[in-house]
Amino acid sequence: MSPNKWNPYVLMRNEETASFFKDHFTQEGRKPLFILAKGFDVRMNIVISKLIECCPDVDLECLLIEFDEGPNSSSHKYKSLVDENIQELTTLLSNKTLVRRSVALLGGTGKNQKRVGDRNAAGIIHSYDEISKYTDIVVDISALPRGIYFSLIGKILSLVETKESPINLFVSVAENAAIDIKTKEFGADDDLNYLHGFGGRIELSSEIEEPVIWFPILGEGKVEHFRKAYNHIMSQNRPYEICPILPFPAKNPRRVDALIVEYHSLLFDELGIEAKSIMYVPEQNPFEAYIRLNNAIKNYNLSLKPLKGCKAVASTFSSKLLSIGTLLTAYELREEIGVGVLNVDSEGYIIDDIEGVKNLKNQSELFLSWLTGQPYQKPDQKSE
Amino acid sequence: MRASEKIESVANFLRLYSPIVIDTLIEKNTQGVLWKNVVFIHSSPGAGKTSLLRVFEPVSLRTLFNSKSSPDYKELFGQLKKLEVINEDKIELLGVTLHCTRNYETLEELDVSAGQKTRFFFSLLNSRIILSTLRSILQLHNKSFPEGLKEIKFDYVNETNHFINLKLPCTGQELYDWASEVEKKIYIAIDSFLPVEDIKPDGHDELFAFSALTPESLKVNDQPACSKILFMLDDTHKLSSNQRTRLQKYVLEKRGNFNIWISERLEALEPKENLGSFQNRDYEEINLERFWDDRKSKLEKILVNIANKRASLSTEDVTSFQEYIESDLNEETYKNEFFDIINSTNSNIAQLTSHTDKFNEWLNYVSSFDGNPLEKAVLLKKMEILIVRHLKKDQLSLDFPHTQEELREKLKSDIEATAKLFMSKDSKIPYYHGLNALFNLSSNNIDQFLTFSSDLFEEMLSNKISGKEVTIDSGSQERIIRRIADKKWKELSKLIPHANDVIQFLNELGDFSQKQTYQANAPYAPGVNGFSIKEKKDPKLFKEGSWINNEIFNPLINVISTCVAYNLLEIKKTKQGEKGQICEVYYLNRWLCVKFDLPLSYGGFRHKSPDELMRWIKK
Repeated sequence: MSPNKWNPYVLMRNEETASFFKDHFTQEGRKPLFILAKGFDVRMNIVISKLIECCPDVDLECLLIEFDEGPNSSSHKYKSLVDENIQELTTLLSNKTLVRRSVALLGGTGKNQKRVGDRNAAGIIHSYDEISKYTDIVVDISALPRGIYFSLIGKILSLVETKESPINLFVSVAENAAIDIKTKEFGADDDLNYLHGFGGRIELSSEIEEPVIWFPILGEGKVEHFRKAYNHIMSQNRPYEICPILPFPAKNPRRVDALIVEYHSLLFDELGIEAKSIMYVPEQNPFEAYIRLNNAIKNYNLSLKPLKGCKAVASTFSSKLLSIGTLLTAYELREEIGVGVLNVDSEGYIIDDIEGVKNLKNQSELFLSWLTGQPYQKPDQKSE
Repeated sequence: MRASEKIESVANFLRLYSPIVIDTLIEKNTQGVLWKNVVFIHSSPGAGKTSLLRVFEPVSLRTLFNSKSSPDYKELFGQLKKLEVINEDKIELLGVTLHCTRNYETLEELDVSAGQKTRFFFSLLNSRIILSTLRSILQLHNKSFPEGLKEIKFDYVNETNHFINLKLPCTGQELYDWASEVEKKIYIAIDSFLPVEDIKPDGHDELFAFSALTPESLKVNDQPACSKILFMLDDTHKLSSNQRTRLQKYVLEKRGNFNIWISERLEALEPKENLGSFQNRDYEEINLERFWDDRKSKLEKILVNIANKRASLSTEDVTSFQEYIESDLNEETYKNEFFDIINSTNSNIAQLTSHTDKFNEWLNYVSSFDGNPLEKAVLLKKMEILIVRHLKKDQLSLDFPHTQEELREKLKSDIEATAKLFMSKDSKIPYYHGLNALFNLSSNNIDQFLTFSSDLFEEMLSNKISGKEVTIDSGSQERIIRRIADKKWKELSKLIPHANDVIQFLNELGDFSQKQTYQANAPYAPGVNGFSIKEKKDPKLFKEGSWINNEIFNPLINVISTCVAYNLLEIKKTKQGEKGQICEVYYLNRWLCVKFDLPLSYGGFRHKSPDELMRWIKK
């Protein structure tokens, strides 16, 4: 088996992140680009405010992605939260450059309306020339929709990783399970598609005979999403096997039990999944999730070599932090094996208790995943 | 109990498939328009398009051929024989299915010219048709994939150089590899983060696969692979509007050389195509829901057959569906409700007739009526309706008493259904129950029937498991039917375009129909649940039908078209007015009648002008 690209890896959390910001971004010549999205999520500015707090003089440029989500967007309903976030951001960036980029999430009208946000997000940065002046890029996914940041990060990875001295690429996220519970998604899209850049050659008719292994990372309240993804895979290409992934170890040791209870009927009664197919990944380590997912897919591919190997589909119904692991696997194996990412978008969000959510903001945990650049350079490159 | 697309085994699928729908193909064959032609198969979701195509796939035909004497398949075999698809000696037809998916549509998002997008679309279609044809040949000849590809020979005169870089004649394997490469490059162009110009996929100017893949050009062990090839393009509504138009234009211009069936949902049609007459189209069309309009009794037979056949596969020993659906009201259960209705209607009638004695004979008839409580309640409701009708008419007439003979004559009129509807409106007496109600609820859509019957079947199973009486009484039937209708209504906003306008429109139509239906004199018995569009007569200004071409009415066109496409409104032609005049009526789908407490019968409609209908949206 080929070695995993992100092993060893660099993952920082909470205070480690703060001290890293202080050490790294105060170095002379640093010119970071910070990418974040405008949204109602109270965690939108947590990472950037920490960065500016740690190194106020950093020569930072900020790219704010403003999504046009159509007239039915939840952002209209929670406009006051969006306005508060923007007010806070502009204050933070009073002496820095803020560039706004508008991206449409939906294309077409009426019956022809469909999600195009993933493709449009990949088009935010067209070429390496547009980012070559930066020493570091931080993509903060805290307020970015799941269906968007995969293609955005995938595009940046494809632009930077082939260079001899790649730009340092970081993915940051402010995690807060309590806020996630209070920010409920409703409605699951019917018309599903693999995310742009992460098709994984699943829909190639010439390779339709290859078995498909589906790796859904389970999360709370997503049974309907799971079912829709399953139906989509079934309608095109029957999965050879389903390997549900559960977050364990987790901060709440009962979390896996609760998930098993929630999904029990679907997984075991309807789909007849065997308990031995279940995988566990640590709740707060996307790189470990990536390594386990990578190894599992490579092992399946090896075992199924007599059938010309296999393809895999990954879906994340869990936290954004864990989804980074899925992203890395799908990106790394997209050509070698073919791993597609099937995302099920929601129609919108409902916040149960706005004040309660605001009060929880300070309990968020900060994670920084380092994807390309200095730590991954070979020793001879580092010395140059 | 769900759609046949989900039935795994071919043998089971064929066993459960009802071949009556193939009659429509036999009609087309008799008219000489089925083969060497393009046929469009239209319907709303769940009417059986994909199942119809599945019958013609090689695996189905082989199963039929191998068991041609089996009673389970005999009828279907006979039907296909009439279509010259199969006979006792061999399978004549190679059915090639291409399921269109959303990834064709993604081509429209590439940063290339419109012409280039069409070329990529054509090359993706060509490659997938070739791949699917080769696979179908292997299935028809029972050869394994991919080993069998080497036994196929493709001998085509490549004069127009369609097959660039492919040396012809070639083996099936070489043709497969060539098509795979074309497909892969287009797919990479769709999915890659790199610009298209770095990938350089091949674009094709023509959909040449249809004309290049022929029984003459495809041989297996030096023998023609089949007698004729049928290309079946399923779900073309998933293509973009541009792609669908280009495909349609191409195949219609080239027709006569190949057999193509295009199956798509009505939502694929342009809004105006969904309105008005289905005549005068320049292509052959089969509309599955309309097909059943003239074959109600056959459809009912099929529906009960499907339900029973699927129930017979149950492992819980509930092997019939029909048997466990209580068809009549349990009169003991609702005895108190009947008495309540008798009392309240008696007092209504007493109030209505308090100022006149001309109904005295009628009242005497009722008081001497010797029926059970249900019969008496129905009789009183009917009489109440008749009295209100008379009072409305009689205001200016002389006060001659009405005779019992007159009453008996009038009671024969079609107000029994209305009386029962009125009785159920204000009581717990169920109205939507029994097999006939279930048949009506299907609105000619097999999947819709299964939606209702599968939940009822679940209830039967759960009754069985919990040791209760398996039979579902009429009250439980109505409870389940209403629950499903409510669920479908709640889901509507997620499923359809122009959702707000459509829901507003349907709400207004439902309210309007209710007001018309529940008038005390029941003027449109058994009730109103549809409308026809009638423009105000002003020949100087407008010609009939001109509103469709007036862009002011675009929102209305979009709403009605969406309703037709998603099977929320059914179009039926009715004779009306002057001799030979046909009027098109838009009826609520029957599950929406449940939602709005309306009768399930057809025939009750009102004329509405486009202006009035627009106001329903704009309120």
